[in-house]
Amino acid sequence: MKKNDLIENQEFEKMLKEKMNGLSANVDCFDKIAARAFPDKSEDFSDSELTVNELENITGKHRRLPVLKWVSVAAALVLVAGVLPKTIMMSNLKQRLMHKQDKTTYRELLSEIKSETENGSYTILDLPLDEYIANDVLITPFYSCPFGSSSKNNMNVRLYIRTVGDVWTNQIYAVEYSGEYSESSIVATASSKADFSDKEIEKLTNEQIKNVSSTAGMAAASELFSADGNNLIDENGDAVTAADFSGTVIYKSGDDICTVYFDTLYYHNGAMENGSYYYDTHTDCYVDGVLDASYIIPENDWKCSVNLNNNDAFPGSSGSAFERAELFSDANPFMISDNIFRIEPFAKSYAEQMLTDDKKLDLFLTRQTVSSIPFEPTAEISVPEYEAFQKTTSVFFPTTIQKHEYLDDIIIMAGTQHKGYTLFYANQDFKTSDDVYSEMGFDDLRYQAQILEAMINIHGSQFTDDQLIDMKKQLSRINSLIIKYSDYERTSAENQAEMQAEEIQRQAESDEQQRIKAEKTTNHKSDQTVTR
Amino acid sequence: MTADTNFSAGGDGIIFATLSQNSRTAGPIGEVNQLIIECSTSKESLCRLYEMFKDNVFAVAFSITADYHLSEDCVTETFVRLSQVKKFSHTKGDGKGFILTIARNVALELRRRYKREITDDVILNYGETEQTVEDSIYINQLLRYLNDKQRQIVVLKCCAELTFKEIAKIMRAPETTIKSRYKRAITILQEKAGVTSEKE
Repeated sequence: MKKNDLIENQEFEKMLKEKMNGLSANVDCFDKIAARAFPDKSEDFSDSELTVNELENITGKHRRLPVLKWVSVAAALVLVAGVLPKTIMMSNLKQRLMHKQDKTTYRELLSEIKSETENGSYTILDLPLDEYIANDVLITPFYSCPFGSSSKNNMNVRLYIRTVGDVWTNQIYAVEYSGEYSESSIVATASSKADFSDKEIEKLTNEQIKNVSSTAGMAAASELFSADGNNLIDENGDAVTAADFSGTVIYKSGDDICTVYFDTLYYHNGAMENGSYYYDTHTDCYVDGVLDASYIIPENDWKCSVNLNNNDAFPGSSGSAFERAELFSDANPFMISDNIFRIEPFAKSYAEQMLTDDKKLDLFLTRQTVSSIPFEPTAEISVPEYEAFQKTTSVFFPTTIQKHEYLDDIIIMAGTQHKGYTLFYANQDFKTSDDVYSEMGFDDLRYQAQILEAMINIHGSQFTDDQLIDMKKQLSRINSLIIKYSDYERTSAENQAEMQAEEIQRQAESDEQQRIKAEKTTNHKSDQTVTR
Repeated sequence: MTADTNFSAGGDGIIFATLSQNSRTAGPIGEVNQLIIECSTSKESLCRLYEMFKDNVFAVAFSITADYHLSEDCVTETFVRLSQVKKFSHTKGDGKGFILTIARNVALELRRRYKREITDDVILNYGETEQTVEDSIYINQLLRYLNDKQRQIVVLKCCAELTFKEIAKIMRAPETTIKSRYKRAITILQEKAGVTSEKE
């Protein structure tokens, strides 16, 4: 920063401070604070003949005159008895209350879950209750566990998540059960607020929404962490293990439906078994195919959680091991520095599964002798439960990393608590920021291009000229890759859409024929009855 | 009753009697931390903290809510919550950062609660006096060029006089990110303030 800039900055800071101080100079609320912080005890009213009603004036409440009080009571009675019951608002409210009462009973909710999940398309996840509570972010990224922890052993949760293809919606049902799953072992049920109609699902199915991966997590990680030998280090110089996963969720809030492309970055800086994680989620929300920056995702949008006795089953406090931190900055989500690279252990082209359970490598010294060598994996990390999200999980490493003592590979221990952790080895032939794009599929590239275009055209003023030039370069690189992909991918996507349209048409024709046939049969039977 | 008279009316405030009533800067960290520990039982300590940090808390709140009365409510709520703090380590903690973290959380909470109203410019509350309205409008007009995070950083730096390290801690972001955002924000503000004054 130049000297002149510094002086200008200081003057500007001073001016802003003066204005703000001028604004707050009129604020005088200590009386209110004292009245709330020290109610009764610190005040001695024995000499002042103050009554309880008069005390309320301290908190700013006005005393009403007795006459006004009676008039308002009478008016309220007239309103309640005569006017309100006839209004549409009241009938709606009554309906809603009755509906709510229905839904919050355990039996009703259970039967709703049963009928819903039998007819619709749902992903089912079974996992231990404690794992869901602790690793909520990795299981349902926008919802935490709706049940509190239990002192009983072997408590589990079954999640039903409504899907469109392999893309999740936010219509979720959860049941808590003991031991093996059966209707009799269920002890609590929960339901999210979102409720998609069949028509909405059909429309979304035709839109062919897919899970796509994103580079935002890697960009944020490359800004947050730096390389130090074999370690990624945070701003305090502590070694961290960082990963991200991304995907798509179709979100319904009220009547609004939004396609949310998300990227969750998370890291820990202690031993994985004991350490908690910091995380943050970056989202791009599309309403009717248009990026809507103002859309706010209502997180943890559960409607109800009830146990067998119809009591509220929501936990008193969160037991999550994930603490939200601000990891995605305003910086360009496409600026990936060359200090880190990523490995996607669950995408098989990048890493190969090797061993499970213990931290030992079986080295085949000769054909007959095998030596198990204990070692520490380069990274240990918990990963999402859902396969589509798991596949996108990237673990980040510093480009300064040295080769392993015995192997030329990086070894990652990744998995989930109840399914166990797996060791993966990945060749150190790591990818640069440019390679990240070249590894992406057609849909991912198209999504990245869409986002970049929106950033340049709509939010371009937020970036410096240099950043804009870089972004345009990235866009041109992505577009050149899209062109390479497009011939094959576009043809296959179009063919698929055509096939689906034909299938829908065939189904509709067959339904119509069946209906006509059924009608004819009914008419024929009734004719016979009349003849007889 | 004003805060000042409340303060001087305190019976056991000997150690505070020599402090300047108009002081707007925080004292040594140890003193602030001690006051935080005492403020759940001592009105004088709470009053002293209020005197020291009222402006800072208001600034943080205004940067988030952009609304005069909501910011005032935020000041009230922040100090009430401060008086209810059960555990605070005076050896580890940075009292000022602690208070401003509470303020930020309260302001975010209030903004979330009244979000629909705030986004409607018509309902924005700029206070009662002419000067307050003028200042509110000026600051809001200036800060509207910044995004949410940039606005908070500028206010925490300029008005609350926090270091980048302290801001990074409150906003849970790396110090380098805070610095770059601040630099970008100030550039935007100077540009816009220049344009505004030229027009005038």
